[in-house]
Amino acid sequence: MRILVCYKTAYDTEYITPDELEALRDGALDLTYFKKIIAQYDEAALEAALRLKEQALAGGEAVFLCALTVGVHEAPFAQDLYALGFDEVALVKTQQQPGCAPEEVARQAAAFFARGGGFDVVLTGRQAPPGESGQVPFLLAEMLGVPCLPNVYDVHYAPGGLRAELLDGGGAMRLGVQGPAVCAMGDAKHPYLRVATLREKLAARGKEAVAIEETPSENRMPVFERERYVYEKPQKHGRMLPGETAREKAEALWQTSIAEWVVE
Amino acid sequence: MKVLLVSQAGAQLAQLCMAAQAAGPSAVQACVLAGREQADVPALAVDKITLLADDGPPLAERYLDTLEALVRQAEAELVLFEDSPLGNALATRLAWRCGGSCALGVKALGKKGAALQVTRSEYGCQLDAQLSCTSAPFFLSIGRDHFEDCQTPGHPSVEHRPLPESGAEWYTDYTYEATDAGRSLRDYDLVFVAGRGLGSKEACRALQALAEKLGAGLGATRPVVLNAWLPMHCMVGASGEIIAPKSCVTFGVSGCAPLLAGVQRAGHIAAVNTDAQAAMFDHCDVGVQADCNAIIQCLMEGIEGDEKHG
Repeated sequence: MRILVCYKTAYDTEYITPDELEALRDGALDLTYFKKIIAQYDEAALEAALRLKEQALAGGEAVFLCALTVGVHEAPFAQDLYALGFDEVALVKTQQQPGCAPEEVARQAAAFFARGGGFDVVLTGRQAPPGESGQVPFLLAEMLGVPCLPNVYDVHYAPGGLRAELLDGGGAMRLGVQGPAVCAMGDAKHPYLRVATLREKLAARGKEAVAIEETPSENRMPVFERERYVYEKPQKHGRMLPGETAREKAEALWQTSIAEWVVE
Repeated sequence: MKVLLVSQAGAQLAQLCMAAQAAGPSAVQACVLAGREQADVPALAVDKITLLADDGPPLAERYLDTLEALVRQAEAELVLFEDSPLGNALATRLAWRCGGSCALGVKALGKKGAALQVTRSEYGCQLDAQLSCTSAPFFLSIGRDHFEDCQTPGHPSVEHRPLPESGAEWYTDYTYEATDAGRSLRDYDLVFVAGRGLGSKEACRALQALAEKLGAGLGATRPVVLNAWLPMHCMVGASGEIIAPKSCVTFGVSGCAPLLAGVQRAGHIAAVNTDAQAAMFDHCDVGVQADCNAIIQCLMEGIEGDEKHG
């Protein structure tokens, strides 16, 4: 079984302040001071791939597990991924940061797929910041001529394919998949990537990503150009309720925010 | 501008219909993708409705060829889908096939000269980006609840079109299990939202018990459902429910942007958090700086005390 995971790193802006958001809106914030993380849905895709590998190996099937990222200089977290059990980490080196160009990213991933002799399954996150276009997995599936499973919650190895569970808002779809397919991981059952042990990290020391030259291409889809960002600082600043003890504060909360709307 | 609306359910077509009005349409057609039993045709103010009704799985691959033919036949310049896994897949893949442009999760749209201007969230819902494009056809998925439902009734002509028999099946053993979510969170006047700051599944259960006592709905942030403290259907925010209750009380919620996208339409917001610096305090009407679990316990004791004393 050959498994490909496409992943992207992003700046962790979860705790960004309103002042910083205003600066970001105006193009005046240097994000390089923010911590870099693997995009949240891509993290779920990497973990799902490791679980698929374990299940396939337990089923007696040989597995090749590859992680791919598209960027300018480096493949962040490459050594961590080797330590966790990825057989290859590849970086398609682009002239410009692909950023928010979903067609460009999908095209590079499709070219890598073909160059690598094909894969049985491609796992991606359903979207990643900053652009969060959400289009890459679908475009990749179109370019490869394979199905795409959106918003995947969980995947399992099955001989000759896999079984997937997808969420669509109203419920859960479960189905077996035969042949190559793209799985776009959404809010997943296993959302976090495991952490390598010190022994695993030492064994992966010195391993680097395999650099691949980008495939020249021309975009086929017209692009929505960004005119500007819009952001307004929050207008509400909560009035802090008085009270010395939890009981007094609970009483104040009851009076202001709960009592009026209680259903008898 | 000729417009085609594509939706899984007639009810959501009403919002797409209103979104289409923002583009100044010259003609509007609609297409409903539905199971045979739910294949009701909405009486909307559109020229024609094409019904693709069957009982197969709602996967884009089954609809793409038929929809591509419909888009070309209708000479559609703007094609709108609902912001759902299926809608997003169809919008993107049809844009690729038809050489059109695509934007997903659109919150607002309008014409600006020859360009179509759209607004959508970026940076984890923290910034809205205003984008524009001049090359039709445009394929957009429309975010939930950003447009009113269309109230104008109509008498569209209806065409039933069968889906082509698929060739070699790539999927097997398909099953669908509807979520037993009971009453929708959108139907409650009072909603409690559990955040990571509650700290445990047991604390979430205590909040659940309080919500049940008071007839309130119970939502949760993404970390809470990913920790399996509450079920997935409780998730509130950009990738969960967008709610607008009369009062929303958050417990241990830090106030990150994707969650705020889900609760900011509440008429009144209260936040309980131990951290005085929590961003949630900048987005609420009243705040309580205290241990959430102690507040929940006091509220529960107060209710039980009232029950004892009649």
